[in-house]
Amino acid sequence: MLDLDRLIHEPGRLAILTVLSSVADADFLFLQRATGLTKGNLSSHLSKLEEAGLVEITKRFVRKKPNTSVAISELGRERTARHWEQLEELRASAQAVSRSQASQSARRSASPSLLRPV
Amino acid sequence: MERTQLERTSWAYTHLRGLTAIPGGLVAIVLALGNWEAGPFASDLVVVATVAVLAAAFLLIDREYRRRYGSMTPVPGSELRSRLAFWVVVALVTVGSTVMYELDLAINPLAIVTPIAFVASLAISRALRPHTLVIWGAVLVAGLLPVWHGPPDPGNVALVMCGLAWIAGGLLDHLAFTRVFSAPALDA
Repeated sequence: MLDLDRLIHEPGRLAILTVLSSVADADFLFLQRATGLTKGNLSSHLSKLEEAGLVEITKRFVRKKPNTSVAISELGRERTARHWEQLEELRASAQAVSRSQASQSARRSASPSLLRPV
Repeated sequence: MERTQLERTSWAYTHLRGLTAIPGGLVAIVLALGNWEAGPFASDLVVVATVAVLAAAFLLIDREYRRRYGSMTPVPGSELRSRLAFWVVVALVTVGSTVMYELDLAINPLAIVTPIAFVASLAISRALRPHTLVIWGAVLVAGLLPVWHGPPDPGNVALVMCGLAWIAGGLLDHLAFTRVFSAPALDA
């Protein structure tokens, strides 16, 4: 039984961490556009991820406007990669189960014709 | 939720902000018009001023992308690839132009070298897309046709063709960019 990381498994947080895994850092608006999350949800998810030490948030002023820059931490990168590996394993095992069920049902549907008297 | 789709956003932001290509393409066309001394472009001042306006337009378009889509810093490795790609373009186009002026060929070296340089640079940046191959492939084929002896100056025609190719590629890149960023929202 796989022990999934509950903090990361939430789709919004997984989306944020996945986007951050592919960049050095990104600002709030980029994350919002890339994930499709609302401002409120993105802000709440980022707070949780920062508390867990998975992201680092820097607040500063760029041309007199507030700018929030977010970068994934080494711990965040490792845990996100591990989580995707687990999801891939789950997907592969689910596909294997569905394949074996399909072949079993195919065998069952073929067997009556073999027993039919000639 | 697809992992590749999410990771693609940073790639798209780096490589598909295609509207920034329009001023670049127009600069190539303006330079050709300047060389031909066509209409107001016979004046060097007009050419320089137009290029300056187009440079400002590039900055404005870049700023508008950042205003609408935010900004991000790519991972260091990809930045290095982009810089390498840029210098590949510069080196190949310089060599191509030099060859064109040194040799009197029936083919159009600039229209041959520029597509190769662009495709090579996009391949290095991992930003090669099917429409890029089609557009720059058309310029390459035109450059290879043995019809480039004598006027009009092959270098200027090549500049116009490359400018148009750059603009067309940029428009298609931008469409792809908007598609990537209009993916289904998680909150929807």
